[in-house]
Amino acid sequence: MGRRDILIAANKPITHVHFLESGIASEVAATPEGRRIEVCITGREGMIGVPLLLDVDRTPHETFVQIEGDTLRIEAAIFRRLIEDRQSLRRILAHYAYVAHLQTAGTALSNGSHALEERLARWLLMCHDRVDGDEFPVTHEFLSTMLGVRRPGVTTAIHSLEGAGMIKARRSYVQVLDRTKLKAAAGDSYGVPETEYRRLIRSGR
Amino acid sequence: MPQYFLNIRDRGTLILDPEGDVLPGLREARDLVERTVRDIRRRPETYGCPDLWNSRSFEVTDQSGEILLEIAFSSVR
Repeated sequence: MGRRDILIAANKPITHVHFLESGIASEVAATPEGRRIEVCITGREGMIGVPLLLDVDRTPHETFVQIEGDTLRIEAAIFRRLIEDRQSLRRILAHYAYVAHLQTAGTALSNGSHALEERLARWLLMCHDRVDGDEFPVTHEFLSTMLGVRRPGVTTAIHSLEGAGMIKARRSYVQVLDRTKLKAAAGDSYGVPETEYRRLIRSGR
Repeated sequence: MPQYFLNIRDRGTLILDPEGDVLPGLREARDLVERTVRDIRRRPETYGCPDLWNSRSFEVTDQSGEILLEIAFSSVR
C-alpha cells in the first residue's frame, strides 16, 4: 500500500478488512466543507475495518495510508463468516475495537485539554510505537491537518521538542532521539489505550 | 503561483518554515499570516500563552530566502 491509498472510503461499502504488517493508516472525520481531523491511527497492532466487526457495512470516516507499508487483506464477506465461526478471533478483534475506541477518546480529550506540544509529543509517540526504527516520514502540513491546528503552530512545537533534544526533524522526516523525554512532554495525554492494549491483547514494544 | 515561507522570528532565533504555502501573491500571504495570528491568539489552550507569541514575528520569505514581509504578532488586530 502506498501513501495516501484509501483503505476505507467514506460512506461506501467496506470491501476488505486490512491487517497492516508495516506502515500506518489514519482514520479521519470530516466536515461537509472538507475540513478533516484525525480520530485514530492503526499500524500492525490492529485491524482496519472495525465497522465490519460490529456488523456495520460502511462508515462516514475515511481511512487512508499515512506511512506506506505492507498489508494483508480479507474480503468483507469472508471476514464476516470467519468471525462467526471463530469466537476466539472475534474476541481478540473486539478487544482491539475497544482499544481503538479508547484511542479516539484520548484524541478527543487531548484536542480539548492539552497544549499543542503535548499533543504533538503524543502523536509522535503513537507513530514511533508502530514503526521499525526511530525515524518516520511526516510533514508539518500533514500534522497541521491531522491535529487541526495552524502549520506555524506545528513548526514552533517541533522546534521546541527538537530544542529539548527529544526529536530531530529533517525535511519530511522526524527521528525520535529520546523517547523518555518525549513521554514526559506528552504527559498524561499518552498511555491509556497503550496500557489497555497490553492488558487485553499482548505486550508490545 | 509563488511559494511563501512563514518563518517565525523568536528573539534571536529564526524558526524556519521548511514547507511553505503556494499562494497567488503577497496580499494573500499577508492575509494568511493575519488569520494565523488571530487563530493562535484565540486558542491559547492549544497554542500557549499569548504573551509568548506577542514577542514573536513572522518573516515571510520567497524561495530564495529574501524577506518579503515582516509582521509582528503584536501588530495584528
